[in-house]
Amino acid sequence: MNTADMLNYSIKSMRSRSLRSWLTIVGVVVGITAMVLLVGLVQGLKNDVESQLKGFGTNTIVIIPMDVSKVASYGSTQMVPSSGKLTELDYQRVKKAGSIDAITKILSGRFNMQFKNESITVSASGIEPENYGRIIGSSLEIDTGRFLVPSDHHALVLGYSIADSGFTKKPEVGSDIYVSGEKFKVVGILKKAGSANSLDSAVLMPFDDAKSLLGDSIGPNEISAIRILVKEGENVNETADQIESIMLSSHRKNEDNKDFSLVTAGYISSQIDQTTSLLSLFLGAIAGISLVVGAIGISNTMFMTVLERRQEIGLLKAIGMEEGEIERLFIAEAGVIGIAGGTLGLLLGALLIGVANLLGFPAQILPQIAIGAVVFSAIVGMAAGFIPSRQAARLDAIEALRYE
Amino acid sequence: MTGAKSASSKPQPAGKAAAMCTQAANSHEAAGTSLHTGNGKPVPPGMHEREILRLECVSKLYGSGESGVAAIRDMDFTIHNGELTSVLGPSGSGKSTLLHLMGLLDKPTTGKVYIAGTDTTSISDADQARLRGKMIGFVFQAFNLISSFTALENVELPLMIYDVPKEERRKKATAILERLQMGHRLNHLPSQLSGGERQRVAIARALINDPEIILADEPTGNLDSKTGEEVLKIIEDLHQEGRTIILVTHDESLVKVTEKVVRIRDGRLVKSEVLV
Ligand SMILES: Nc1ncnc2c1ncn2[C@@H]1O[C@H](COP(=O)(O)OP(=O)(O)OP(=O)(O)O)[C@@H](O)[C@H]1O
Ligand SMILES: [Mg+2]
Repeated sequence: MNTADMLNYSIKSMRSRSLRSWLTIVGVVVGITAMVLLVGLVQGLKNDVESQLKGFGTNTIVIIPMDVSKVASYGSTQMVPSSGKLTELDYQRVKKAGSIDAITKILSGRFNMQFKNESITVSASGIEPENYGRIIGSSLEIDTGRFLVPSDHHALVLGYSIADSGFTKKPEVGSDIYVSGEKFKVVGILKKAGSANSLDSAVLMPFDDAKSLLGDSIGPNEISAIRILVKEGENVNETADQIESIMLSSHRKNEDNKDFSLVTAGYISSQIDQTTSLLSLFLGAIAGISLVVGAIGISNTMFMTVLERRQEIGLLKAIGMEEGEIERLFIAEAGVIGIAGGTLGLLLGALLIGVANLLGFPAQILPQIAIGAVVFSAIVGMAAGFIPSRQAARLDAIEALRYE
Repeated sequence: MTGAKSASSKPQPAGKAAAMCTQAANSHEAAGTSLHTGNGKPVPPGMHEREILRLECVSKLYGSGESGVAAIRDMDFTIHNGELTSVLGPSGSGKSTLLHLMGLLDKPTTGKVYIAGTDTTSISDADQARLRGKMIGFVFQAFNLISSFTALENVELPLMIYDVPKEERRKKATAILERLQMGHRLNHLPSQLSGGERQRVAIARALINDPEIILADEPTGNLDSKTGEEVLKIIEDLHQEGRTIILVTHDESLVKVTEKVVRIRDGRLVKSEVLV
């Protein structure tokens, strides 16, 4: 019997027991839907993170005054990460390291911002305009106005979402905004950078302005972070190691009690990979379990089908069908259940991914996942139907015909 | 099935049947001839010469030892091309078992079954399946139609197994069904057909591969007498066309259409007569 006839035969048989067939298919749908949805969510999360990392820059190193490796390894509450202070001195020393293309010190704080009669609290950063612009590079796109220049004084550049939705009346280039009571002029507004990109909520001002606003609330030479762009073609990790040792000697610390961290794209992505792969594993396990349940459902249905269709199997033998072919016929039927479940599961999964996107969860469905889901469910179906089909093929023709 | 409730079938130890086999095998020639001279009437000359099916000393035992049942014992006979033979016996006498052995659905415990000269006991299961598909058409008491297939598809099924193109098999199946006055029921499901109609479909299915032998096990058993007669008429017609048919029944009245009768009791050949 050729494949088309077998599939046709299977579908006819399934139709004649449609309720049970559908229930079995639903069992597979659940597993495949879960799989498609969960893989889609994890993929979406990864994409999101990747776009953020792109904003961060693969050649970028940021030094922050806190040992984040301790946070990561000891969990949140018990261990307070040892935090120190970064100073102007650190900045000057790191500046001398090799392979650096550009470097800026950053001074961040939370400020009260008032536009018209409305005031909000935002975190703003003081930067060295030329260096900062060079480090952030192409992801820093101006929508209107211009970026900061070294000669700027009391000037602001606003991220897209601050400008767009920070105030009820949208500030524009040339608007006056009062920051901690001091009058600043908006010189530029950034283009929308991406869904969760930190640049969108940035408020940037010249370093010296930030320093004077913060005044005594920080140490005399204190800075919040140092951002470095490694030269194109240089090894970021090697440069980071070099900077790390400069910092350790500058702070008179060692690996164990250090009070700062070097954050690189590689470091972030390895941290995130750890989280997402754990998430994938967890979600995958759930999807896997429901698929196993679906497969057991197929086996169960096939065992019942074989029992019910003993006479039919006897007849097939009587009209000359060989055992191997009978086996294939039933495996095809189990495969059809699998494919039906896989296809419907894929459609439902795609639908739910659409809903997730509407709700603001970035989820994605890749074509290879879609094809994989259907192929996989066909394989699961056929595997689940293997033993029942064997049983059908081995059935004694006489017994099978006698059965009434 | 009702085999076990027969009054006459006392289980016999398996050993006995086996022991008698050699004797029966030796008298094979005699048994073969007796078939043609059973009631003194000779077979019309030149009509049935080609041997198409031969049982040689066939026994079928179920179980073993004391509880073993010999369903068929030392069965020896020959069927020739074009014969319409009835196998007659009371319930439980082993008729169905015999039919299954002849149709290669079952394997004899001892002895040999020859189909068109081939010793079927020495070939593989797959070869047996192929031989069965090509040479033998079955008609069962319970029709055994596939409930999810239409009449036409049921008849096509044997050709489907052999990958005959759809067009061709559809044409062939339609022609056979039309011949059996079923042309107006081609696309009906078995559940939408009467018993007689179902059996016609089953007969059409048995015919579609143009088999050498048609084996019918109580084909009228589930039908009322009128429809039974109709089915019998079809069998007679097929015989007139020169088909080889073996009709298994416990119904003495069916014997009238056949030209040869093999009477069995307790799995043993009691008497075979030529009725022509
Ligand atoms: N699988 C089996 N195991 C044991 N005994 C069996 C088996 N199949 C058949 N028999 C026995 O073999 C004998 C012949 O059975 P068979 O079905 O051939 O009879 P039958 O002549 O066709 O009867 P009926 O007219 O009722 O259909 C019976 O005594 C039956 O009990
Ligand atoms: Mg019987």
